Formats: sequence, C-alpha cells, structure tokens
Amino acid sequence: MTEVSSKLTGVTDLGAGSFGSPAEYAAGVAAFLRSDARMQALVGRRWPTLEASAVALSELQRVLFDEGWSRLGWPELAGGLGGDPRFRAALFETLSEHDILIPEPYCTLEILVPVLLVHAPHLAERYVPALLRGDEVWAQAFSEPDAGSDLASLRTRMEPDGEGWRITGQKVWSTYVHLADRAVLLARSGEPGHRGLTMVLLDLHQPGVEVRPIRAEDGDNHFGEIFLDDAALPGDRIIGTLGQGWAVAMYMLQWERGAWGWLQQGRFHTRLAQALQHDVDAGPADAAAIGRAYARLAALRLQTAHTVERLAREETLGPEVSVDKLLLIDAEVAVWDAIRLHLGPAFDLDPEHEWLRSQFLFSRAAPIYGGSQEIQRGLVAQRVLGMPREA
Amino acid sequence: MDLDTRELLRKTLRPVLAERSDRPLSERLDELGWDDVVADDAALAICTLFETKGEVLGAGDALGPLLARRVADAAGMPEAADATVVLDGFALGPLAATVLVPGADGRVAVASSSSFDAEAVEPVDEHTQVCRVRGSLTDPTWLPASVWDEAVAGGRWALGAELTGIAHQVVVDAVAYTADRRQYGRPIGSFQALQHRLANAHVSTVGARGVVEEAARTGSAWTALVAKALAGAAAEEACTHAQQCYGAIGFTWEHSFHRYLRRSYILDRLLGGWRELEVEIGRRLLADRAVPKLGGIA
Repeated sequence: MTEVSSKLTGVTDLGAGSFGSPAEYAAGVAAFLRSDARMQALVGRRWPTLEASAVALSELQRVLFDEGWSRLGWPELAGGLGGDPRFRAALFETLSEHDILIPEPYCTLEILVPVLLVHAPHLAERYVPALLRGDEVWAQAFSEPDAGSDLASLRTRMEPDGEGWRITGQKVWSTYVHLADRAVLLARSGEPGHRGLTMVLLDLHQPGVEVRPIRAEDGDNHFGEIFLDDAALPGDRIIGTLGQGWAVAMYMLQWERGAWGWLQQGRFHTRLAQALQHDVDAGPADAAAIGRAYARLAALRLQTAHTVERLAREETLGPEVSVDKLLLIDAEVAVWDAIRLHLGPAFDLDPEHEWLRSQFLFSRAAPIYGGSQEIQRGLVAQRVLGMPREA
Repeated sequence: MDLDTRELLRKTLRPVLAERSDRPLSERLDELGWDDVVADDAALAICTLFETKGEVLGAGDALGPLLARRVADAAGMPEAADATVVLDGFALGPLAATVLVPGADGRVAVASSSSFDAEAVEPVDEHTQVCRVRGSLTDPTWLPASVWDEAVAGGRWALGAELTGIAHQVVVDAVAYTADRRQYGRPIGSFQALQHRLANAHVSTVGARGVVEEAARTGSAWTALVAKALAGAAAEEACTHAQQCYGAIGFTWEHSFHRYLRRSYILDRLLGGWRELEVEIGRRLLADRAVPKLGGIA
C-alpha cells in the first residue's frame, strides 16, 4: 500500500514519465485496483439499470482522476498528465482484467476528445478535465430520423444569431444522451451535402432542448432522441471551422473504429473467461463455437493493438480502419454466441444470468452501431480494395 | 525487417517462387543468398517466403524442409534436416534416405526410408509433390513430443502465411476481374453484393495475417494453432467469394482460379484443417478455463 501510494504521488507529480512503458503503467494501475478499497468494492459489481451503473461508475471516474491514473495518456492541456493513447488502452485493459466495468463516458471520451485536441483545443482546455473526472457527461449527436447511414443528408440547421448560432432539428440514437450535459453535434450550416456541415459542442441543459431516452431491446435506455428548437450555441463552440464538419466527423471515426475495438476486446476476453468457469456438459458444437470466438477475438486484439500503436504515433488512419470495425463485429457476435451456447438453457431461463443476457442482446447491435456493417463493407470494397463506386 | 525491405524481398521472391522448375526450391533460394535473409530476421523472412509462395502458387515443397529443419534444430540432430517428412501416410516430396514420421503419441520417429515403398500420386493440386508411402518403421529413433510440437508450430504459421497469401491474391484477382467485366452497362464490381463478398474476404485475410505474423515473431505453438485456423478459414472464404464473382469463367480449366482453390485445399488439411483446429482451440480453453491474450500494445 505504501509503495503504491508513493508511486502514485510520482504519477501525479511527474506524469507519464513515471512509467517507462504502458505495460509498467498497467502494472501500477493493477496494484492500485487491488489495494484501494473503493476499487475493490467495484470488482464484479453489476447494477440493475444503466442509470444506477452510471452513478456508481462516475464515482470510479472521480477516484481514478483524483488519484491521477485516468489522466495518463491525455495531454496536460486537457487535464491529463501526458503520454500517448497506449496508456489509456492499458487502463481499459487493466479494468477489464479486474472485472471492473468500464464507465461508458470513457468510451465517449475516446471518440470525442481526440478530435477536440486537434480541431478545438480551446474547448478541450475548458471542458475535458470535468469530462475526464466524470463531473460532466457528453453525448455524440450525429444520426437523425432521416439520416442514418446516409449521414451527409442530415437536416438539423444552425443559423447565425448575433455572435453565436441557433440550432433547430432532431437527433436520434445518441448514446447516453438522457444523462448527458453537452453533445458534440453535427449540423447543417450551409449547402446540402458534405460541404455544408459543421461540428459543434452544444449545451443540453437549456431552453429549446428536449431529450427523451429510448429503451433498447435489452431493456436499458442506451440512447435517446434530442429535439432542438432554436437552441442557443455560443460563437466559440465550433469544432474545426465552419463547413468543415464532414472532415471533422471522419477524423473522429478513426478513433471510433480503432480505439473502441481495443477497449471491447479486453471486455470480451474477460466475459469469455468467466463463461468458462461454469460447469456445463460441453458438447462438440460448444468447443467449435468457443474456438471460433477465440480465434476472432485474437485477430481483433492484434489488429486493434496495431491500430492503437499507429494512433499513438499520430499517424492518420485511412479507410483501412473499417477493417478493425468489421473484425470487431465478427468477434463481438461470435463471442456472445459462444457464451450463450456454452451456458445452455440456463442462459435464457436463470435469473442469475440476467446481466449477461442483456449484454448478449446488446451484442446484436454490433453490426449496426457506429456505422453499419454494410457501410463498413462498402468502404473496404471501394476505398481499400478500389472497387468501382455504385452507379 | 521494415516494410520496405519486406516489399523488396517479396518482389525478389516472386519470380523465383513462380518458376516452374524441377530444381528443388532450396537450391533456387540458395542462389538468392537466402541464409543471409534468414539470419537477419528469420520469422519475417520465412513468413514472407510462404506468403509469396501462396500468392504466386509457387511449386516445390517448402513445408517438408521447414519441418525437418525444425526437428533437427530442436533435437540437436543436424542429419534430420535432410529427412523427408511423412504425414498421414504421404511423404512431402520425394523420399530421402531418412524419414521423419510423427507417431500417435506425439513423438516423432527418425528412421531409414529403405523399408518404405513410395508411389507418386496425383493430388488435387498438380504442383504439390507427394508420394503415398507404405511400409513399417525399422529401428526408428523416437524423439520426444516436444520436438515435434516445435516443428508443428513452425509449420502451422508457415502454412498460415501461405494460405493468407492465397487469400490475398484471390481477392486481388477477383477485384481486377469485377472491374473489367460489365453487365447491365456497368462493371459488376460496382454491385454491392460482390463488393461485400470481397470486403469480407479481405477483412478475414487481414485478421488472419496479423495472427500469423504474431505466431512467427513469438514462436508460440498456441498462437500458431490460432493462426492456422484463421488462415484456413480466410482462404476458404476468399475462394468461395472470388469464385462467385467470376461466374462461369472461374469454373473453367483455363482460368487460374481453380489452381488457387486446389492448393488451398491441400494447405488447409496439412497439420489440421481450420474446422478441426477451431474445435481444438475450444477444447483447450474449456480444459484450462482460461482465455489467454495474444500479444499486446508495444
């Protein structure tokens, strides 16, 4: 305990330099998780609703921030202690290995913050520390009722109003939005098509913004709708420049498709290992399904490790990152199919498995969320393999 | 080995491996100064060799010499390096004076080939040289299972590399064909149905390649097992989708496609087909009740 505390002080004082490598840092995180009573209380914990889980895990975020651990891997400008994304990847991996659930806002951070650092450092400086500490929650607001896969057809409008803007329209499928304080939102500021789009950071707690959660098939309120009626946007809330929204969104997607896959594979290794602790009469179909799931998981893990390394070197990822997303879909579906098969009828019947069941049901969305499987396949075919665009 | 060096090696290897020649592959590689390439980075050199062999459907048995060399190294028995490997009653290549025959208990026998009858057979792939072998082992020296396991691990990732080479080439060729072939006034490659098939094949190939390279780098038998399972499945997926993209022309003798298909059948079966290997992976995980993680972020 003493040794850990002194090392920890070192982290907060010295930043990423305290650890020679992400692996050393992971060992430090692991020692902290094992020695801290607040962390130990979260091991294996599950909550009956997403909202209850969000409250408990925001406490986790606060502790990890105050103790310095979650600040590694983020630049000082944004409240971090320096170091590259590999440190964040190591934190997720270590939390999963200790069966502590990863707070959903960490996933949002992975997607939204890198884009702020590049395209709106003033906003990163002002808001990201609170986001990292769990004092604030943000959502991503891209899709609309008539603009899903065809995102560039979105219609939510931003109109100039004095120094700032006014936003009117409707967003949907926005993860965690009913718990969120702000949203990174893609709006139309100009002509139809890709060129008329702008990315902004909008406050959700204001007149003209109404948020309604949507209950998903697993019973939880994973996402929601946002109704915008003349909502106010201050002039300094544009991410990137006016009309640059599509490019900013594409920059964001490389993180959504790369870093997210790494985070997920850590979770899946733990879930699969936990399923194997149950005594069941494993038939040949069971072994085949587990073997297949594991092989796909291994492919996902090595591919996304490579991608996180590339992101850490600040390489710009191209359309090839859709390969990561497609490997994620294959692995996610295969792992949960194997778990369900392995646990047999009890999986569907026994209340003991309620939490796992809801995770399983959520996995059915893997080929849909974050850009559908069909869109990703089209990107790989046309942009990676060079097949002709559709007529 | 950096990416540029690897690309250069690939370019150098392509004509050598594509050559239809009776000279043994080892002799042709020697002329390239292959030993120096291997000394620099054995894992990636061998990986690139097998991948390229897959891409150009290189003739000549590379697997037999690789297995024999690994047995020789693991057992400290240099003479075993020239032996012919016999798997499931088939010799990989012409019979040398010595044979290596894995036994049912996991050990591997080193024995004289003098008591063996070998009969050349025509396998599904005409450029794979195998003989059916009959006879019993006389005075074999049995090497421990660890020696054969070591050889199998190397063989599996090498075969994995060759299978991903096939999968890659099959997709590249199908992409080219579907860009040229027009129906309904447009290239058939613009149809989503075909795009998605080839995209799937590409994704599985990239996923498999990553695990193959990890297995080559680490030498882990477990990783090699997973690598071969993924690569075998990727090759089958690529061939299935490519064949559909070709339509009837891909079903002709004249078209090169069936050669890739045939070769992939042989390679997938050697040292465990992907369906069997998936079951094997599952059985081991069920027995250990643990899910090991491969590699990590460097």
